[in-house]
Amino acid sequence: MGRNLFEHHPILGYRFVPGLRARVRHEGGGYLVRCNQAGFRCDHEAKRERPSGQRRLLLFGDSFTAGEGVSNRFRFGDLLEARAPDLQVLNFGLPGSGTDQQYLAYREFARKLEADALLLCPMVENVRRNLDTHRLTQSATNGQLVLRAKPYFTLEDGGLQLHHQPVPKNVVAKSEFEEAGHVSNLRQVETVASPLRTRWRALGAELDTRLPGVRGFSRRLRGVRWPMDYEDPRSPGWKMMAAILERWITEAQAPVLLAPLPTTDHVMGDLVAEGIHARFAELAERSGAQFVDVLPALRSEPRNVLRRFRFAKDDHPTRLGHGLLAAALSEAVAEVLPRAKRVAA
Amino acid sequence: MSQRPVYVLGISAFYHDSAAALVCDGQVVAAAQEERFTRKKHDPRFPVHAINACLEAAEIEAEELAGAVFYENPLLSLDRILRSVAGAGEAALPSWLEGLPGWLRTKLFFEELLREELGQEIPVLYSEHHLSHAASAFYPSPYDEAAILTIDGVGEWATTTLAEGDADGLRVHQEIRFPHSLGLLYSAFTQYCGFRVNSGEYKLMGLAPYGEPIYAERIRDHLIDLREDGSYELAMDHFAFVAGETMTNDLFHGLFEGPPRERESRIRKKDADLAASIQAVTEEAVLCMARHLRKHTGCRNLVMAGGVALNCVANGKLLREGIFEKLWIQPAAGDAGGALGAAYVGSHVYFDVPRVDAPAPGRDRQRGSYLGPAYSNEEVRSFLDLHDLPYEVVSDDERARETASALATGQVVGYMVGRTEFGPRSLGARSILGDPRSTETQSVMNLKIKFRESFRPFAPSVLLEASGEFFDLEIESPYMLLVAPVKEEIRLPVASDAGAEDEDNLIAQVNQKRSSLPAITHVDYSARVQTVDGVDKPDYHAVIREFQELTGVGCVVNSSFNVRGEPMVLSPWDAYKCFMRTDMDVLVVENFLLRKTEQPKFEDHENWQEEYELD
Amino acid sequence: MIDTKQRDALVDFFRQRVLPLGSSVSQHPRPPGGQPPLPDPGSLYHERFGERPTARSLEIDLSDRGNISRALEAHWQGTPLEGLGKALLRLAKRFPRGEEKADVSSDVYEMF
Repeated sequence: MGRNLFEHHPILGYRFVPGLRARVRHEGGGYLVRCNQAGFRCDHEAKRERPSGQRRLLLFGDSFTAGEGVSNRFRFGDLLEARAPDLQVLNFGLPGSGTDQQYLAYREFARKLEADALLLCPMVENVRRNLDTHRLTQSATNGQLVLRAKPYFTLEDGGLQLHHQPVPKNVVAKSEFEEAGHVSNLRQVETVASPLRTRWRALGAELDTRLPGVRGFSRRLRGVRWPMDYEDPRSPGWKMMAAILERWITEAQAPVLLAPLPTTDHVMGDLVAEGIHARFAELAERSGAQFVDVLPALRSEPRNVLRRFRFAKDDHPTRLGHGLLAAALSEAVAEVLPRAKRVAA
Repeated sequence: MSQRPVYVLGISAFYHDSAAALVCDGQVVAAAQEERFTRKKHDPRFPVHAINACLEAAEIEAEELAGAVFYENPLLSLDRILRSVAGAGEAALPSWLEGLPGWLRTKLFFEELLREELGQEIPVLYSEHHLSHAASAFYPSPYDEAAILTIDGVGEWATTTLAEGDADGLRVHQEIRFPHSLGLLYSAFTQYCGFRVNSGEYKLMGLAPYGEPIYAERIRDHLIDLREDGSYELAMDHFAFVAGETMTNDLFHGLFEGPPRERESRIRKKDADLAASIQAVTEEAVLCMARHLRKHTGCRNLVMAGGVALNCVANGKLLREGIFEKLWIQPAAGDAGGALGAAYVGSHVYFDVPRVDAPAPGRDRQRGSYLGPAYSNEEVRSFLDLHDLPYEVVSDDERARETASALATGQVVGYMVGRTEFGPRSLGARSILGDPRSTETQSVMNLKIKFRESFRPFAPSVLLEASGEFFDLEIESPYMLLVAPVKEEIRLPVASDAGAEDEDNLIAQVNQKRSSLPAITHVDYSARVQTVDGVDKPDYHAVIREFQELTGVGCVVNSSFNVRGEPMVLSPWDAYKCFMRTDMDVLVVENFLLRKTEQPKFEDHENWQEEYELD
Repeated sequence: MIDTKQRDALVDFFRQRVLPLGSSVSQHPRPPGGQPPLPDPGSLYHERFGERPTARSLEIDLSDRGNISRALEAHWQGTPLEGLGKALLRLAKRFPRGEEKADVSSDVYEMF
């Protein structure tokens, strides 16, 4: 019914349709999508030279970074740019992607671009996407749920081995999907079809409506940690993410800011983020990136403000959420850029 | 100091053909019908996708809207409904049970729906149904001043409105009120003759040339009291529509000596005579109103809207009568166009935006009615590549040449280029094209592409500069809203006994070769003409010009790009599905050309022949 | 689709509130901004006297249930329909928002 926002890409699996102009209906009232000719949701073309007199930040991440739910100009990347008149932010955010695809986006589209810094914004919740061989998606032609292959890495002899290159185009019916493959959103989507789970979710939502904050309070009391992958540095999810990020940071031609994006539950303090903090801080330390923890700045906001960090149903950040993220990131970005300029000079 | 642009969103919904339109500083930016997105013909639902398409085209945020205008006044509509059912008594209970839940669930809560859709509080205004139609006719027209005639089934109370537009805006002079309605009278005959109300009226008009108006006198004597000034009343004891479940009653059936024709049963001579009769009465009423309006307003120009303004036969007659010097008809004359009118009412009446100048003297402000969504070459390519569909990339010139060349060799081409049409007619943005010279075209396009047998010929798209070679038409007809006689010079004699052995066999009659352009010539030597110029639709003009180069005929067959009962295609996927389900030979989508012979086997998972209802 | 309770409520409303209005109200007695045909036997037009729409004429506050009820009541004040606005809004509480009707009737012109 709506436009198809994405097209197949042999390296990344998919990207936005180059040059796309679209508006997407959404619970927040709808948002405008503008893409450049490289197939990323960015108002600037990804030209090799940075604009004269400007500094350039290359931004990577998933749908939080690409700005699902808000128009281009309200995303934290665009807001960072608006704060600094001589800054150009090239947004390479790819919705639904893992760090693997984001890294491939860097290699394929950004490595040769002049840049003063890279800002990597993995969404902490999606650590297991890097283990996925396929993703369950909705067919644009008939609305059916189908499995599409994605590129993925395996760790072999301590090194990263890339698979699914070129990424196959064909879709796989769920019934034909081999057990050997990994699809982290399979269960998540299946729950939608399960009446029991649907009812359970509805009860949870009702509880949130009638007694707002009770569930979060309960989690805080219990000290719930999530995702568990960050609690153990040897967990498969973290090992894969760490390996990809380390390689990426090593290859980068400019300073790297590593700013994992928390879920709203982390922002609200309902989930413990110590493991996340520890893993990314260790990784930054050993790879030479700068770790940017946005949580302290976000958590300093009043809870009634933070409640509007995300949409009511969709867990992506609202305009306000993006504004808070931009504010939380701005100091680190401002600090890294002049340094980068001196290095470049 | 630059002022913020004034964006006004118009919305029509809840009856049939829901739509949205966006006007910026008095100029239409976009307009779209919900059915194109939902693939549900005449979709009456709140037009969420059409609204989205309008904001998408303008690339604006919802909060940039100065306001939204609903195309009618719900207080007046509800007033009319309550009073009507009260008057109809217990007989109205079934339609009360059918219709009122819609009001209680959604229709009264338009603002809530809009607020949820846009995520914003914006000012919401309400026009009147016929005021919206009037605005849709006047503001986009080429004229500085014009008399306005709007006729349809019913809005709130008004069913026919006589108005006037000038530099100071709109003025409403007179109206006819429900239940008296020329549109409902026509719909009553549509139902009685076995066609679908709300969509089959066009078929009834197409059937009229096969009949004789032998019932016209009976209609005048028993069903409508038509006065010299075009005002009228219906004899309500012959109709059942006020109670709501059907249009006609036993008295009506008795008047025409039998029950309604069963849908899909064979069309009889009687049905054609009835069609010819109601057509004659309708034309007479429209002409009377026009004469009265001319006298009343003194205007030299007439503009029209409302469903009855889609009666292109009546429009053609009105033009030839010369009551007004000039005539312009809103191409989205039905309720969809009400969205556009509502947006204009909001702009000019509420926000006091001055009317924009016409793009050139004599040219209208409707932009060819190519106001819906378009798809970029990148979007088309990504779709074709994803499915590994074989295609050729063609330049604009090559596209025109290849399309014309295919047509000249008798092939049928699905043509999807540019922004989609706003309104019920395909105008070369979502069209199926054929060779008008061929006697085969009519039957091939009907049976193998539309999957129907039709007594209606197809419509021609003719180069504006060449229309005089084929048609007695002195003005432009860019929206296919005028029927014109085919020139004497290209007519062919028909054997006097053609079809005489079976006067009910309309298909045999229409298949008689009546001119050198048989595929577009109706049995009365008329044609529903679309003139094409190089300004609003240069790509389509180029195709026809190339066809003229190859054949000497600057005219092609233009049919809507769909199968029967399906809304016009919108997206590349819609177009490809329709292409593969039918016997079209070539598909042109933007700068991509696909040949049927090269396509992989198409696995169709939808039971589309049952999915789409007949007209 | 409506359930039995909803159907009963609709029938009750129809019989208790609408039918008693009778056929005397079936013609609009007080046209908005106009009047019934002039006593000219030659014409059946309702006059609107070249009336121009005004900004004010487009403003109706239907922003929430309370305002919808008030707008209907104001519209019907002093007419036999007075009081129906509030009653309709009460009836509406029994009809939560659901799927909209997507089909257009093929038997009768959609005017409800």
